[in-house]
Amino acid sequence: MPSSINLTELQTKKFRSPSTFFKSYINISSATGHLRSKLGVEERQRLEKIRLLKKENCALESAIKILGSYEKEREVFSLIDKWRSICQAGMAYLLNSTMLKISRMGGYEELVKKEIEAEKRKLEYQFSDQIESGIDDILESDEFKMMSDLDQAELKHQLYQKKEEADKAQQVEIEKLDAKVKESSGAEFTMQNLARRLKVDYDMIFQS
Amino acid sequence: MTPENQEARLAKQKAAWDQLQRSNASLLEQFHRLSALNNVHDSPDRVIKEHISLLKKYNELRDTGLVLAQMIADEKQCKVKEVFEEMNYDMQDKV
Repeated sequence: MPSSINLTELQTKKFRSPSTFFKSYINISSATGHLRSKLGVEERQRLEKIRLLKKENCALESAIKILGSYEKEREVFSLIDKWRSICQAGMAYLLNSTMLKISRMGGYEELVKKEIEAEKRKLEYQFSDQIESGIDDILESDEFKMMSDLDQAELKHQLYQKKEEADKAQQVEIEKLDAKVKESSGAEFTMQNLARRLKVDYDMIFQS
Repeated sequence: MTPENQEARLAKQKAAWDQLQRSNASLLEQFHRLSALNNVHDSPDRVIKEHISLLKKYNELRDTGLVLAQMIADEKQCKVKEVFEEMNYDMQDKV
């Protein structure tokens, strides 16, 4: 192997100027490096092939295990059917009882209206009330009172600007909620509505 | 690295490769035989994916079913077991 060439042997050869020796050494060492890197690439490719074959065998072993006890797989199929039927029956029961409750409340539209009103109240609290009380706290604080008139005016301006932005965002949200009320006008309470409210996957239960 | 080391490593890798190829042939033969027996026409990866997806679906449906049964039991003020009896289903799965 070129890598086993001894440096001292080369140095003792006659008629070689240091620069010639250096050039030869560079040539040898670059050839060795080239060979080493070529071998490295080949080995890496070989190891990669081994890794892939190991992976393939591993997948085959797992698949064989599954196919070897395929009756268990069939049992899972029938259990899926069983629990899907239970879910469908449960949803049917809950839909009936919810519809009864809704009709006692004055209908689905009325229910949506009441829910939207509650949402609006929550929004008002979140946006305006919280921001207003925050502004009041700042304006009444000792730090604010210690500020110059100019700084006070600047800060006030910034705070009211923020309030204005919050009011606008609140208005957008309220408009979205109003659109929901419009959408529900004349609509019936459906199984999809129930699934959404119960946070269950409608497609999983009703579509196989 | 010495040439001897290099050769030894190469021989080891070759032996591993040969062994893996022999296993692969035997595993493939087993896989095809079992696939035909169970009338399955999928790749090994697909068989595994399908198996995992089935178990996931079963777990999700079972969890949902139990939650719904609990809701009904709360509404009727009875035990979940009674809800299942009324639906004519066993609460336990016999696998």
